[in-house]
Amino acid sequence: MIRRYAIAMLVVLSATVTASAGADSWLSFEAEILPILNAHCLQCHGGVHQKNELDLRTHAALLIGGKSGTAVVPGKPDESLLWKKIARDEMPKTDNKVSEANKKLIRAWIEGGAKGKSKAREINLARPAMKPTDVAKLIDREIDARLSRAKIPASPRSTDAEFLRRVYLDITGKLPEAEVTKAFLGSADAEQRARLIDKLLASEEYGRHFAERWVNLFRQMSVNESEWDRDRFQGWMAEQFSSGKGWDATVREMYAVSGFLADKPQTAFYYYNADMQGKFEPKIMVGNLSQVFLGVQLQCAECHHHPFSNYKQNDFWGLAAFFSGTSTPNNPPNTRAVRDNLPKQAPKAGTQVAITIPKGEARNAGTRVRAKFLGGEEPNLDAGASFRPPLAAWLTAKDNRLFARASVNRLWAQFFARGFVNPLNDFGDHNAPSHPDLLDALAEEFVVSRFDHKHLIRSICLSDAYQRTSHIVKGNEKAEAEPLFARMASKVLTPEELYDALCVALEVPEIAPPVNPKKKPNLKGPQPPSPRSQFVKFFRNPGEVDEPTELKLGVPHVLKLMNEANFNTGGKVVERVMASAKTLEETIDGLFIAVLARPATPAERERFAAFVARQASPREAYDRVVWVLINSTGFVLNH
Amino acid sequence: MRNLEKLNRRDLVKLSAAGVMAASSSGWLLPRLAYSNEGRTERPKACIMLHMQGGMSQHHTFTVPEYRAQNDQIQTAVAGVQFCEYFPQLAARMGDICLIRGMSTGNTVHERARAMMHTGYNPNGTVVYPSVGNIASCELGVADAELPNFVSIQGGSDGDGAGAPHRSVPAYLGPRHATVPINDPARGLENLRSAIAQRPFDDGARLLDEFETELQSTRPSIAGATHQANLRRAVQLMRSDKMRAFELEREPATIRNAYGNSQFGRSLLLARRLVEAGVPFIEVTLAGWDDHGGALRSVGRRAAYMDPAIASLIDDLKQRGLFDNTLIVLMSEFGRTPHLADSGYNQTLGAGHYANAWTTFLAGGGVRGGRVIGRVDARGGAVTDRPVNVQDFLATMCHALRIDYRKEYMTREGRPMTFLTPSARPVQEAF
Repeated sequence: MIRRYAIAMLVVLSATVTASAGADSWLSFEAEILPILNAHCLQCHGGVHQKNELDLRTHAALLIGGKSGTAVVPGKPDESLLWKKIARDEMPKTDNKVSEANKKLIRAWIEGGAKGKSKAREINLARPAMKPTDVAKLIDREIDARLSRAKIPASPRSTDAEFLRRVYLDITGKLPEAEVTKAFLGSADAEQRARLIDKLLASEEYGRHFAERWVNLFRQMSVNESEWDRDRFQGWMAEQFSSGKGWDATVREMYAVSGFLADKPQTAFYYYNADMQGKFEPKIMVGNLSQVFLGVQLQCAECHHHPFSNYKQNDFWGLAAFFSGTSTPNNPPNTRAVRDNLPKQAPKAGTQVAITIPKGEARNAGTRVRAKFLGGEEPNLDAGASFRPPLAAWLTAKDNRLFARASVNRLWAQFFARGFVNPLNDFGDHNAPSHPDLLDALAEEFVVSRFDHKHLIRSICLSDAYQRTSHIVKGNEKAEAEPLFARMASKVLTPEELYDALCVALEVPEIAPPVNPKKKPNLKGPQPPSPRSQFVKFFRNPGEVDEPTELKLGVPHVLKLMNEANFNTGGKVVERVMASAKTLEETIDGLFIAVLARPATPAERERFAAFVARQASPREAYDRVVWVLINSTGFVLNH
Repeated sequence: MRNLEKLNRRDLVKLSAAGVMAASSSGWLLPRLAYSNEGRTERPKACIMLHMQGGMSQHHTFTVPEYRAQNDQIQTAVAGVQFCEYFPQLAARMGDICLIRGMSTGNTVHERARAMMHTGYNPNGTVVYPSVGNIASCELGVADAELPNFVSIQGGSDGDGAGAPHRSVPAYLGPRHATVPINDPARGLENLRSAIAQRPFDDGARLLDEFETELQSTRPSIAGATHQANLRRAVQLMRSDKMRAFELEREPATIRNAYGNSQFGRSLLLARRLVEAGVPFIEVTLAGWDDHGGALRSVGRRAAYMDPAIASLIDDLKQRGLFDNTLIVLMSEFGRTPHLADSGYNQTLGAGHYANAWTTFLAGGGVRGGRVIGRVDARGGAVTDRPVNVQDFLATMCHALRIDYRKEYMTREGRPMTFLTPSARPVQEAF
């Protein structure tokens, strides 16, 4: 059905495609063509098989072609083998034929010169860090240039209220309290946005929020369902963030750690990379490491060469070899630790560090693979010491572009709902970034600022791009506008953020779960989890990674928010506002400010006032108003 | 313009907001898009999937190994086919049942095997896969249905269930196809009644919908549209007469008694009522099958309520003319070890995990009854004829339900996905 609509859309839009196909074609191999080849061709002409010696993964390889010669003659589709085979549906040989729309794109791309991407920008790691305001200007220059090239208008600057709620949620994960909102909206200070950013970055909530997001990610990538000493691990990470520790140092400390979990909370990280039984597995670690910290899908290469990129099985197992001696005792819990099984006697000089590909699903089982950095050398390792510190050093080195780019992309996506590269864990020639120069410039800035998260966050939040309203203007409501950051995207509150927001909005210390009257409380046994974690458990599907733009709540969640007594009695907020506001309109404004962190618009004020006037009891009417507000997208989204 | 094939649901809603596509006046544009069966005339099929969580011993249920067959097996209605003696009522209905004795699924880790039997894939941390129930919701469900299209019922816990039940996620199909969980069939869908009186609730709901529409007009987003659709569905559900399907007390006592006074029995009765009301996929989980201490006595205990409940379900569906349209599937995550020879603490028959030769069954939904597909050796440890893997098993379910398991869906990132791999083949002998 989606497809059918997509095709119908093409009838409308194909005119655009044809019109723009010409000498100055904007189509590039990496951005537009490779995704099509990826879906239809690379199974046979990629990393695993290269039938007829044809490799379609890169622009260069495509021009070289296979046994039958070049696949593409720039400017001449009818002489290009690729076009001829696909146009006649001779290829692919499966039923999975290339759609008419994509055929048009391929033809237009060849007619336009069969271009590849432009050359990458020079990287300079010797320069000093810039001022955040200058980084913000750089961001805006790049973003605005892309928008004007695409002739898409940017939405105007956000209102103070919109900015306040957004930046509070993005930096601290919390809603501003009513008093904070009132003070901010009443201030005439021209610099107050910059001051607020600084204040939030200096708050404890910043560290706590980022630590929670990161441990959530580790938990969601994990194959086992346990929370490994989570509070202490998260506390450790929060302190790293709050104290302004470089991201490289934090990651290094997690990867190089040895010792007991009781002494070093970051050892929990290894348990989040363990198997179902809590036993550490090098291959799980490498799968996660590559996706989270390098932004590449190396896990495909566990079993075979990567079909769509140049990663080989040895690249995967070469990284796994660094973890070959690592183990995590599990039972009893007080023995939990990360350690390396090192030889008792000093090994002979030149002893190779390697791992054997285990039996199972992987090809080449039984092969020994030497420790090797991804895309780099096979280092000379001391076989008598842990191999993990050298790996951690390589991973977080200044010149490891994968690390800096993946980190920046992830951080950007946390603020803008999408990265320059999407999915965040799929960097590669097959998946071009939307703003390649900006991504590189920010990665460079991140490195020269000593991997300072606060510096980058401050810069991002100061940019016009971040401070834009999420409201559409004519011309930027289109789908193409979204990857260009023409307006702020709406992000779904995580279950933790939703819970915290409800506490702030209703002005209550916690949202107690409903009590089952039939069930007697067990006073002796283990205490039930906190209201917050019970709430989170109900609202988050296990095994799914949080996606900022995808609402994963369903009918059962909505029913809970609508019908549980907690959300129908207005909380403390109604009492407080009713006691202080003088008029109906003031009361409505007070409730809007408390729940949505903004005053009502005139139209809303009128509509809600009319509603309250129709109800028999004012108190119950205001309870309803709060109910409407917390159930609205104005509340469950960050925009 | 980016690659046009990459248009996803989010883009579509934007385009509709922009007037490129005619927006549906009902406000249901978005959810509609995710259904493929509009214009269908015949009644689509339905499925009741019974998941025996923990690993059901085949030896103490439907495949008694030859060497110990003399003492505790019973003859079924089909010549040459024996069940374990605990299941006399199902044995009498073997004429309606198609046994698959050659399940050979390769994975003996609970959560992984459980996920595989639901989704077809070993979880890999990269791609999130939907369950067969989510696919059925998408392919068989009705867009404007008041009742959910996929309901998961907790059918009881009797023994060690080895962890939480598999929680199905809709993944690339979108939140519209999420499952609605029922924790207790006697209580039905939770939070379905408002905490306040009807009139103020309705007034508030109307104000909320107006407010939402206004918010959406200036800030369209797929998440917002999904939320508004969820709100409307929830309110519709609260007001719907169809919610009576959840009220088991409407059923005559004779029927209730036939299904039995157990959570499992009530779950099957609820499943039948939901099928009648048009819900295309219901999963009932009975947890507790991880019988490491030996399966003999615990299966006997469970059979006491399972046997009459499942037999009643078959009879009841037949009586209502729903049997041929409703597929009943009884499955587990794996079977149990065949022999004493296994090491460790799995010393008794049926104690350890075993995925190389185990048993599932299908009934109704056009499946040919009275059949036994596949054979195991005398020890019950190896499939000697017609092994069936996870993908083929799910393909068989899809085939019975008339679901195209090779249909291509797009993930939000524009990655084409099919429910099963191209190598999946339905077990044709079942039809």
